[in-house]
Amino acid sequence: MTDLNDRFAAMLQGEPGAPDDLDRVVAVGRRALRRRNTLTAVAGTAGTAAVTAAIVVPIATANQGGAAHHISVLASPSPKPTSLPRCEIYSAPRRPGGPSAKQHLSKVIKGISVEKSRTYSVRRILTEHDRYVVEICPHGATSDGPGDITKPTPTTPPQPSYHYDADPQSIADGFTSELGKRVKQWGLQIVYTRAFAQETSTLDKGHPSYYDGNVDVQLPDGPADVGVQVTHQYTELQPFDGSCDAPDCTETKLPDGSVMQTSRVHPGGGGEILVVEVHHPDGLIVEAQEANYAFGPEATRARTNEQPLTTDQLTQLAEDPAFTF
Amino acid sequence: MSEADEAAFRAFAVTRRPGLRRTAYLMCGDWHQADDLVQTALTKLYVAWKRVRGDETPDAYVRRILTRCFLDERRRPWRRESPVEVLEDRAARTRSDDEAMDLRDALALLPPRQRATLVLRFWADASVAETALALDCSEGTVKSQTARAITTLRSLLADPVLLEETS
Repeated sequence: MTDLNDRFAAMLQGEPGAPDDLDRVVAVGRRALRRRNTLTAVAGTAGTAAVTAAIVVPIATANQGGAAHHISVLASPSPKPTSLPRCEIYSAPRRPGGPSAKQHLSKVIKGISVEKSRTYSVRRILTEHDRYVVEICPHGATSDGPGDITKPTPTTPPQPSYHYDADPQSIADGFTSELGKRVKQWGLQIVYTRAFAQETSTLDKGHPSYYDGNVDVQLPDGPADVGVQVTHQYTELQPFDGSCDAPDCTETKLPDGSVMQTSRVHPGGGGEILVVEVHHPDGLIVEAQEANYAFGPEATRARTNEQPLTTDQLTQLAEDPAFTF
Repeated sequence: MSEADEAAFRAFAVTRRPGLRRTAYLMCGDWHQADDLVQTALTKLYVAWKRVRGDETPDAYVRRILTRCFLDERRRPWRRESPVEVLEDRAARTRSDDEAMDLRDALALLPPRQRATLVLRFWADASVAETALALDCSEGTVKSQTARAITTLRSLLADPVLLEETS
């Protein structure tokens, strides 16, 4: 047999029945469409370019008469250290014939206060005919003051596209070396190192679609893994939509407008991977992850009892400037 | 989305889903993953449905999305690909016929973009231009990726005449 098409057909023998999930596809699609429409409404205030640069993150829903209203976080109006309570600006579409601004905001704030276990109140309100834009602050937070509520929301200016002159593999080697230094500083013994740049360099307008470095480290009960991956917002086909629907996903807005997501993945066999992703406003994504098993050539089925790094250390890696070259 | 648009989307999804699922399976080698990929691709298509119907054919668009979803999924840390140098070492080995691995194993050893290129070209029957569109690369890259993938497959499958007619 020399025809690859025939061989592909042979691979498909024994195809299992397909799931009947079209209703689910449509339901998820409707939610995504509403989320996109929220973004479009916000763009009317802040300008499309600014919204593209400032990631918009749906974080909460307030249920009104069975219809979920997606609320979006815009850029923080007053960047502060992450340890301080911060004010945030929210936007939500206003439905014709829907509740008043006061009723709407009451539900929104209640939902956010429960979600964040902190009491929020409205500092500023800007109501327009098709949306609400409000600044809400937890008690004790500082902001830039009342300001002029008619001014557009401050946003991050559009960033230039990334451009690398260096050889992709040398870039990957460089940041894998930095990863190794940090892991050693934390007292871990490295048993395997791998630096990788995606082989094809055309996916992102002439740049490798991602750089990846990982090290396997020796723990008392076996090898485990620490890795960092640097990539870019792909294309208009797959923009970062702010979804945080992975298991145990938590989300934090950082002062510079970046969004940090922390999640946990269980790939099976007792394996566990912790992931901290930082989505920067310009589309760069730094993803630090650790696993309780090795990825390298010495990998076994063994799972270690503990992860090699603490969550704080993993977060440090994800925020490390060495990986935002 | 209007009721008419949604009905059109549903009709498209029902008719195209089996083909998309098989394409996804050939790319990823796992039916569960294939179902996830198709579900994600169709969801993205739903969101873009009104625009896609006006600007380009839904078939081309959903093929692009499916391919990008597959490549994005390969990027995830828990689905790390083997380093390229390891693949090349294995590909360089000479195998006798009785050692030849089956196509599924051989495809799994190809880099994901090469795998996607082969599936699009030789299963989905996409032209070089259509494959380039799906992969967001040049037509020259599609040709070089195809050639490299076939060379590797020939070695892995111990089949020197594989695809002689089409490559």
